[in-house]
Amino acid sequence: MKKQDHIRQDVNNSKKNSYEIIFWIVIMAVCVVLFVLSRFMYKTGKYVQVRVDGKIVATYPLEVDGEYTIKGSNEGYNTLVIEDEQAYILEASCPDGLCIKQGRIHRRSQSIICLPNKVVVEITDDKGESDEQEDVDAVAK
Amino acid sequence: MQLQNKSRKLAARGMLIALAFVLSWIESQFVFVSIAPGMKLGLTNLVVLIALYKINEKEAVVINVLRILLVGMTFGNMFSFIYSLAGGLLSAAVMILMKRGKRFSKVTVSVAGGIMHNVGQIIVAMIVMKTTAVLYYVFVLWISGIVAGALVGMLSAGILKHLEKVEL
Repeated sequence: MKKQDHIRQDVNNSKKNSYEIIFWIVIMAVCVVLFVLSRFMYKTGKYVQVRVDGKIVATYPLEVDGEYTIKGSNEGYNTLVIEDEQAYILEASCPDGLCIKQGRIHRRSQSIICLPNKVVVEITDDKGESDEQEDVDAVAK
Repeated sequence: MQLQNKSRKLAARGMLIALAFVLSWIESQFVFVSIAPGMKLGLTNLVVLIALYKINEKEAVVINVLRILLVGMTFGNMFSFIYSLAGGLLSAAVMILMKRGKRFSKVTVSVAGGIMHNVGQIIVAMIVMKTTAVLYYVFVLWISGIVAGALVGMLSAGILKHLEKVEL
C-alpha cells in the first residue's frame, strides 16, 4: 500500500515536473528576448525629450551640452543637464529627489521620471511632434 | 469552543496582516530608485502565499488588499498606492490560477507571482505617465521578479512546512 502511494507520488511529481520545465523555458525565453531587445534595439539616442503631464514641452539634442530648467506641474521644477551625450537631473523641487537618484541616461527609450512633478525625460531618435511639420514642408517643396 | 476558534482565526489573520505590513516597510527601505519610482520587490507575496496555501484564496486577496490600503495610508502616497494595488492584485490573481492548476510547486507559483508583481507596476507606470519609456526596464524587472519570487517561494515553502500541523 505504502509502496503504491510512493509510485503514485512519483508519477504525479514527474507530471508536475514537465509543466515546471515548460514554465521555466518560457520564463527564460522571455528573459533572453527582453535582454536582446534592451541591448540592441535601444542604442544611444539623438534627442532628449521632456514631457510634462504627457505633453512634450521641449526637445534638446543629446550632442549639445547644456543646463535647462523644466517647469513641472504643481509649480515644481527639475534641472536637466546634458553632458557628454548623457542626460541627468541635477536638482529638483520634489521632496524625495528620486529623479536625481535615477542617474544618467543615453540609450533610446531610457527615461527619468519624476512623479510629483509629472515630468518624464526620455531619450528618443526623433524630435517628436515637430518632426511632422518638417515632413509636410518637405513635401510642399 | 466556537468562540475560541473564532478568536484564534481573528488573531491569525491579524498577525498575517501585521507581518505583511512590516514586510512592506522593509521593502520600502530599498526601493528600486534607479529603475522607476514606486517599484517594489514584492516581499509581501510571502504572506499572500502562506494565506493562499494555508487558508484560502479569498482571504489571501483580502489580506493583500488590506495590507496595501494600510501601507498606502501610513507611509505611502497616491502613486505608490496605485503601483502596489496593480502589482499586488495581478500577482495574486496569477498565483491563484497557478495554484488551482495543481501542476506547479510553491516556488514556481511564487516566481510567477514575483514577475507579475513587477509587470503590473510597469503597466500602471505606462498608464500614469502616459509613456512607453518604462518598457526599457522590463528586462531588469523581469529578472528581479524571478529572484525575489524564488527567494519568497523558498522561504514560504519552508514556513509552510513548519505550519503543517498548525491551523490558521
